Amino acid sequence: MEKQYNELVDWIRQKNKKNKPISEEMDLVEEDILDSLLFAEYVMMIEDLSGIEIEVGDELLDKIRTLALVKNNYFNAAYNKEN
Amino acid sequence: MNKISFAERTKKLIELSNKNYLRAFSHFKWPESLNEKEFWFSPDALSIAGSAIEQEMTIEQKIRLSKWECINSFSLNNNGERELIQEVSRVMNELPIGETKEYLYHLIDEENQHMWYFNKFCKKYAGKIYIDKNLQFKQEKISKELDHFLVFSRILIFEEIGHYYNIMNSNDDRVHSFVREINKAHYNEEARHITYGRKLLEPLAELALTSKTEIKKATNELNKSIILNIRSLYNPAMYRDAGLGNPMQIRSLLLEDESRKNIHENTILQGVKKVFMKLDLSLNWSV
Repeated sequence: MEKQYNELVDWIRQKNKKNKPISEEMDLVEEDILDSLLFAEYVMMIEDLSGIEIEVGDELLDKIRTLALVKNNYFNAAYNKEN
Repeated sequence: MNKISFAERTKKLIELSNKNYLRAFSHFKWPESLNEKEFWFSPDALSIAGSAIEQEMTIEQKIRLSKWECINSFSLNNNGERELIQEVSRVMNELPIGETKEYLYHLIDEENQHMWYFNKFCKKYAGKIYIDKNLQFKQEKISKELDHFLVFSRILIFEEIGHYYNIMNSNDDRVHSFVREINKAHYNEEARHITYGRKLLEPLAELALTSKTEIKKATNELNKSIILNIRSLYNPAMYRDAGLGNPMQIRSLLLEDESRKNIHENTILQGVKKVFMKLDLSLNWSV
């Protein structure tokens, strides 16, 4: 799942309109990189690349607010499921 | 000719709601299954219609996609109507609109039944409903008047877009008769809701849009609402379920397609544009 995860990282970097680099630990919500317009796109990209369907609810933000969390909750989870 | 007042219009709409009351729970005769070799969505209203991608698709692929576009459209209706009921219930007792508020009880009643039949349709014929992937982010504090205006503006945007699909699908005899029947029933009631919504926005706008700052906040929110509504028509899950490869890429290509942009601007959003032009709000969106 490394390739798919890197694709997500590239995608979010392309969408980043702020003048600061995105690290894996950066809070994308606090840093205003993820807003209400980009949120659904971000969720759909994670779903598409990880193959895991995501339920949207209040608790979701805390699972995806950093790339490291996404990697752990979706890409590693998908990898573990495959193997 | 005298312009009919909001109060008079509301009185007529309530009379019509009572006269044409449709109890959806017992009205429809639900077929056991729907023929998947027929269109479930007008080919002219598909998200690929007029695009470069459409040229590469076979008729069989379009028919398969039409099932999932129908499920997406009905899922959007189900999700949107749930939010509508929540929002209208939240603000209705605060609205300074006198007796015209009475119609909102009819609206909630009818929307509840729509929500029921759209939900049932998706579950019965597709085994699922598409979940809304949007999340309401914390908003800056706004006045109560602007809140009321935005609640009903967002509802009207959603309903005007839905109206386009009701018309396209109910009038196209290539579409499965049961799907057309659902679209027609929805159209009849939504036409009244839209008439009421357009009238209601006039007093709400007068109270809310009192300064350049308030107008700017409103236009920002409405542009966002239009963008999210348009993007939701290109759900990658429906391309995936229709067996089309690379659903996110299809979505991006369609959102960038000039013919599709033209269709958004001149057909799907025609009603929306008229509403806000009448209120002197100049919106500017780009999906």
